[in-house]
Amino acid sequence: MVFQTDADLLGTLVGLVLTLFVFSYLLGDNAVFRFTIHLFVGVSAGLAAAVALRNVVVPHLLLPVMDFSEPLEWLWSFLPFLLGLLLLAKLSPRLSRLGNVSTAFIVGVGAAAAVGGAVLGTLFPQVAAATSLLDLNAYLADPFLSTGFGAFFNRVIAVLGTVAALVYFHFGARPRPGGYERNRLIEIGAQIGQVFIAVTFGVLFSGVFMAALAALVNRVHFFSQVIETVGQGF
Amino acid sequence: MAELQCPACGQLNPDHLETCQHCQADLSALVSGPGDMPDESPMGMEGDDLADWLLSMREEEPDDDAGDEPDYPDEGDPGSPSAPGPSPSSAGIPDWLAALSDEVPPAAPEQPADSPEDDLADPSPAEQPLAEDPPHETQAIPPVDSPEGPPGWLTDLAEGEDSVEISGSSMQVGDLPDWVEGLVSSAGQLKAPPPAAEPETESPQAGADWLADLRGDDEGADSPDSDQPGGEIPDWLEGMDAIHEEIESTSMPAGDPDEGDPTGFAAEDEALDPSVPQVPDWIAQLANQDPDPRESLETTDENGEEAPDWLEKLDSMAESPASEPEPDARAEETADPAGEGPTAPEPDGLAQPGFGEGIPDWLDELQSQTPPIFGEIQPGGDRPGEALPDWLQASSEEAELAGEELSFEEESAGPEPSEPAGAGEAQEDMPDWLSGMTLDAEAGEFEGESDEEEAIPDWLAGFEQPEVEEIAEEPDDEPLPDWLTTMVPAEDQPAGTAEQPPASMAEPGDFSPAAEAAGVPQVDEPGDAQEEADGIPDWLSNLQEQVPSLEQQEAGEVQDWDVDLPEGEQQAEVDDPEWLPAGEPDEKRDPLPAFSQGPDEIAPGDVPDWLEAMRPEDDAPAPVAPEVSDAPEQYGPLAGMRGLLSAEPGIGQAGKPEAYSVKLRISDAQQGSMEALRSMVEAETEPQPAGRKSLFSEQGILRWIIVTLLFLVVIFPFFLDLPISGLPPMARPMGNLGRLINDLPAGAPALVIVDFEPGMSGELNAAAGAVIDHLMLRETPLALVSSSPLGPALGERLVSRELAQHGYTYGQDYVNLGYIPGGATGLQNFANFPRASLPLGYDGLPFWGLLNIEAANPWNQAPLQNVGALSDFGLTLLVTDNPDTTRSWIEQVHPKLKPGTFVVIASAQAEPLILPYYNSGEGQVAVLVTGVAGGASYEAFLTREGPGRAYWDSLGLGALAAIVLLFGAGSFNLFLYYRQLESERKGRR
Repeated sequence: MVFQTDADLLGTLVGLVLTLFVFSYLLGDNAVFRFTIHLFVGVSAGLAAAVALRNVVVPHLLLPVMDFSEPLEWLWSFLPFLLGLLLLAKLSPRLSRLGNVSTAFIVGVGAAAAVGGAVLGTLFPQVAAATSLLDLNAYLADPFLSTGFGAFFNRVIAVLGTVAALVYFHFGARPRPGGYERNRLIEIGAQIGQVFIAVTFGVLFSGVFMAALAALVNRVHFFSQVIETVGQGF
Repeated sequence: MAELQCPACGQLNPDHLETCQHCQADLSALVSGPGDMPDESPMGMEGDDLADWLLSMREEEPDDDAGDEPDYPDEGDPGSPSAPGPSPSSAGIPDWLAALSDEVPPAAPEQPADSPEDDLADPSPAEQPLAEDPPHETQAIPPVDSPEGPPGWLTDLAEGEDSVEISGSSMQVGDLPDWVEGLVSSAGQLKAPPPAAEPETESPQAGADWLADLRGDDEGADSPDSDQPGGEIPDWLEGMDAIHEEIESTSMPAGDPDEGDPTGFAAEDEALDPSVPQVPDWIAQLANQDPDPRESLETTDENGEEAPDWLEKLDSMAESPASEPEPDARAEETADPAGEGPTAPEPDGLAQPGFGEGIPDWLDELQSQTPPIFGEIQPGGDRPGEALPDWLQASSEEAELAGEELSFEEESAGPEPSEPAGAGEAQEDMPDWLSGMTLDAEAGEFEGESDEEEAIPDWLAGFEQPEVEEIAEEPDDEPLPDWLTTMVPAEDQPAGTAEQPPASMAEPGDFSPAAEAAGVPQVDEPGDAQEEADGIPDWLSNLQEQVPSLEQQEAGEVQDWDVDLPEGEQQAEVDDPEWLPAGEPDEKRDPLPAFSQGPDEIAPGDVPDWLEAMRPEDDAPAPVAPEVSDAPEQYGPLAGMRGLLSAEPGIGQAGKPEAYSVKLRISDAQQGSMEALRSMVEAETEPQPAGRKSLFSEQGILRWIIVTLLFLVVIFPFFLDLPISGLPPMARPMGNLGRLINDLPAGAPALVIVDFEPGMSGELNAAAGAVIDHLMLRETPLALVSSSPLGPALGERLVSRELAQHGYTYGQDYVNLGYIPGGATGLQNFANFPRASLPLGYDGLPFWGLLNIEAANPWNQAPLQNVGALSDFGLTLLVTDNPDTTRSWIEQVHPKLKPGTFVVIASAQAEPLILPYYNSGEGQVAVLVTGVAGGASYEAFLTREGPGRAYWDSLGLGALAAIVLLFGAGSFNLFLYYRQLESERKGRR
């Protein structure tokens, strides 16, 4: 670790102390831990506000409004300014209704963008990818599974896992003499889907564990570098 | 201070008042009276001096009438039963009548008091002295105190009567005032009723007719216009002509009535002078100017009203005195009224029982006892064998001599409704007050009386009272009809008179003190006519005879007012009481029953409901008291308020719902389950005190073991500094990424999207460092951008600190575009308008440096000078730990990117969710680099040492330790489980 400036050294030491404070949670909830958490939250919020002011408010709101060179542009830029002011009315319960227009605009535009992106960017590609697993032409073109049996097995597992997971979320049932009972095929598919869902959760958990373990490794590595650096006398 | 008792209302008034302070009745007579009669009360007689029946009347009158309508004392409304004035009560008796009664000493009753009415109808005190007492000494007639002094002259009347009685025939005309003489003469004349059988007498204006006839008699009975059968003027009326002639022969002024005393009372002053004739000028004018009475009658006929028979009799007698029946014979006829059957009283007030045969007895007696000029008039001769009192005879004579009977008749009959049209000329000759009354008579109503009250003397108004009050009761034995019974209050009915004929049938001539005391004039019943007549002086009866004329007027008025029916129908309805004997001609019936419309008639003072509803509000109290409740309102918006109109019962409470029990019927087991669930829910919400955890608890020890193990595993590689494991094999994606970066055009910038949190910087820095290092090796211009507010700072740190060895400079090698707000919307905007969406970069310049927007614009920097769209970026590298952010970039920005250039460097936790986009085959994610493993793999591809390789051993050992812990913990839990099962088996054994 190379400390180019004193600020880097100071920063490294602060980081080291705060890291130890976080690790103090092993002893239970304590003030040092809470202090560290609050400090992170505060710094993050402050940094976010500064970034928003610098990258959003000033270039997108103040500067266009203060620029009267182009009246038409000024009117066009005044609209977001007005909507922004109305949005501030949400702070007051009495005037919160004034901000409904801005909120409606935001929600409407956001929903439209999200829906369009989801349909075009996620739904259709994922449906197409799922259906491609059952492409018979691909099997006919490579009947001997030249690409490997594993690939074929993966496609079968993928199709089976997708269908089984969807069947699991099918809750339709018919009334029977002892209560309600789902169709047997749906019941079997739901059981298979439940296995795939459980494996998926396990994978997700392992990914979270690996991400956390990587963070731990990073911190331990940091410790080792600081100690090494301190041991070497900077 | 002396007090005067009002003759109208009976109230006491100071003696200085001329009008009653209670009823505004004229008290001038009472005021002036004491001077004339110092020994008498203002009423002429007081206390013991009065006869019993008068006392009783005086005592009862104020109670009955004064309180009823005290506001109309002088109105003299004959239709008002409670009208004050000379009512039948003692207080209402005209003072002149009182004076008469006072000065007439009680005498032995000529009629035995064997009838039940005798107790009530005491023998007339005015008649007793006629029989026993010698004539009183002649008194000088005092002058009239005031021009309006009827009371005075009325008082004098009594004295004059005595005087006349004393003087007898020797009395000269000039000794009495003309009006007194007229009164006395009219008394005798009024006593003569018309024949009851004559249908013409039904006309209420008959009285006026005969009165007009009398007036016209002065002009000449042989008027050629007269078509009355038997229209001869009676002898006594002819005598009046003689009187008039005599008057004219004397110095009696007969000038213009306007110039003379209109009232005729001024002649009283002249009466003091014996030389002056006592006939007033207007009487003289009447004698000269009055049309022929037959002409008046004719005129009356022309008006559709017929003169009464008795007037016709009078006319016939006047024309043929020889044809008049003998008084004795008539007396015999009238003595037995039963022989005629229950003759109904004549509607005409002047009708008298037994007079249908001709001139009444008293008239005959008058004729016989008076000088020839009055020989035809015999007052008091309505009963057989009853002689006219001397005093009355004398007074009649004197009156006839003076011709005052005409004036009296005119006065008494003044209100007669029907004045002949041809009598207008004579009417002009009348005094004003009399003319007014005549006008009223023409109108047939008494509506204008209020205007003429001043013209009507009190005593004359008193005559009008009985005709009004005769509705009340009648002291006859004849049972009252139902309707009349209901009208008469029980308290007003004297004992023994529970059933009485209708009051309307009462005749004034049948005046009974008892009935008068009850405030009701009696009704003459044929069978009891004599008994009643015995108790009343004849002159008083005669005076009362004038009432029927007014009575008829009132009856007609009421008919016109009350029932607006044709005259014939009115008669049919009115004159059909049940008590009237069958076969009685309708013409004989009194029209006054028209007051009542049926058998169950209205009781006096008891207004029927329909009429009560028509009463004005100021008279009738508003009947709201029973409906207003003081209880507070219970329902509705007015709840709690008092004094409200209560709602209809049942309405206010109609909306009250029935009370239903909401208690569920559950079993004990269900109740127990419910309580258990409730306790569980409540336990979750209750805050539990944070117990101090021991560091050496079972869980704490396990935690410390795991932490210690992991720390040792992770730290060990760093301090050992030995490769524990080899690098992971470079996967095919890494080769693709390497080729992609290597294939980037020179100068083509790469867009690095730093979208991760600071906490994930250790992992992602290791993963992205290798790729960015490769780019820097290639000197690829970099443009940093982030959709997270903290991303620009992390990107700046990554480039300037982690990869500081490459020496990238802001604005030359890289630019930091900063933060993209708006989420997916902002990303779409950025994809469409990258320059416009991020005009200012995260360049680290001071805030005021942003004012120079051109200088601060990152798009103007060298790395991005050739970039106008996202497709201009040779490579888009997304470093993220959030799969949602990855999806947003893929969905919103990926379509705008150069195909196959979108590389995702993701955290290990986001890999499972980003991998479908990479494996979809659509090329949404060209290369996916995941976590430390991906970075270490790419470093291996690059054959460079980096953080990936440094973390790889620690991460590997840590993962291994985790696996060991998982299996070890699982095995331990499985051991505990089998141990528990074994203990259970042992327990079973």
